[in-house]
Amino acid sequence: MDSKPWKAWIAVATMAALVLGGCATAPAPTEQIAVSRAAMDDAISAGSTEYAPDEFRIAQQRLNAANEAFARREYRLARQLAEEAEVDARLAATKARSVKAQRAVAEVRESIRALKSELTRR
Amino acid sequence: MNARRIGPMLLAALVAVGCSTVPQRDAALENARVAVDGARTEPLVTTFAPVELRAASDAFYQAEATWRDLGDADRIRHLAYLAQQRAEIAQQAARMRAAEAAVASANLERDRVRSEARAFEAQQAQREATLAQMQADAARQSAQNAQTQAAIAERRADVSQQQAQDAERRTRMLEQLLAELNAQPTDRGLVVTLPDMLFDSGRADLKPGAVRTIERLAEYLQRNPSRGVAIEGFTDSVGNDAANRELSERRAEAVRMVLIDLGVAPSRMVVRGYGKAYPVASNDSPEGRQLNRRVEVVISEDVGRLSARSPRTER
Repeated sequence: MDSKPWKAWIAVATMAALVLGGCATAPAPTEQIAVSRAAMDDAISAGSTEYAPDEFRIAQQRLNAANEAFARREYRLARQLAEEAEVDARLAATKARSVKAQRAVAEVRESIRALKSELTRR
Repeated sequence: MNARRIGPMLLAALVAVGCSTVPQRDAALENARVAVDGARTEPLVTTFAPVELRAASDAFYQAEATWRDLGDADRIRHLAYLAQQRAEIAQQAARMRAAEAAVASANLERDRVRSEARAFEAQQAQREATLAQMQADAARQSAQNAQTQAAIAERRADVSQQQAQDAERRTRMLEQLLAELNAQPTDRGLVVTLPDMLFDSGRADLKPGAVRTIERLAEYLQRNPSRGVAIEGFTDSVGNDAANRELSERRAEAVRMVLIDLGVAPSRMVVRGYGKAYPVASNDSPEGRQLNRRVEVVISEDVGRLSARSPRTER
């Protein structure tokens, strides 16, 4: 067992390299950034800049941060940020649509109330 | 155990520890747990956003599994954040769909109210049309009534014209009768004189020629039923006074009998014989005496005013 001690060092180095590589390197999250970008576009078309401005701003900041990390080739961080930006954007879009739908309810109910009061006044 | 092997093993252990942490309570994971549990227990979410809720649950299980497997703290935080956001997405999606459903039912309600309003308006218009029709009918009816009233008034005017014509004709007839009777107006009333020659000489019997005059008189009295009559007989001064008074009274009575036969009520008449009193001419000549022999019929305004002659009214 002690015939080749240098082999043990090679094994340790290889393992450390693998572990460290697993921690530090990752594939470029090109696809995830595209998905987040699309979610962002959907949030804008849903009117989130007007109806969910806080959520929209957070999503935008995260997407920007993801792009910056991507540019620095910090792909692991870029992927995380892009994934978070995607759910942020989806939340912004959903909240904007929810607010609009609730306003629509209020408007229709108001128009019903106006119609009814007009009916009873005659 | 070879002491030289301890070094590399320790190094490997240190590297492994560097990449993972001992599981302990993680703040981000707890936040995610609260958010996901909140979504799970919200009936609106289970009803309207089951797909989003499933995604949030899956994201949470992934984060929790990573934590249990002693995963990277940053990765746990990341996965927990994704789960928390997905829980919030589920909440918002549920509210959105609930609102959309409410809009749909409210739109139905609004359509129902609108059609109700239209029906009400149609009913109102129908009611107004009916009212207008009724008013038109009433106006037509009142126009007809006015026309009828006008016709009635016209007929009344005709009738009263007819009556006026009748009254005029009657007046003319009466005037004619009076003219034929040669009636003289005096302060006691109209006086019709029946001359001596209508009687048999010295007697009270009327000659047939007198009847025509008395008929006219009767007709006049019948046309003037409120008037009373005084029948007064006179003679000339020849002969016995008592005989003259008796003759004058019998002649007046004869006239009264004829008038009764002709339908004049006896209660309207009084008879008096004055004899030679109240001559209308001189008894010195035969013509004068003939004028004094007469019967005067005095037609007064009414029966109650039949008065006897007073000496003052002597002529």
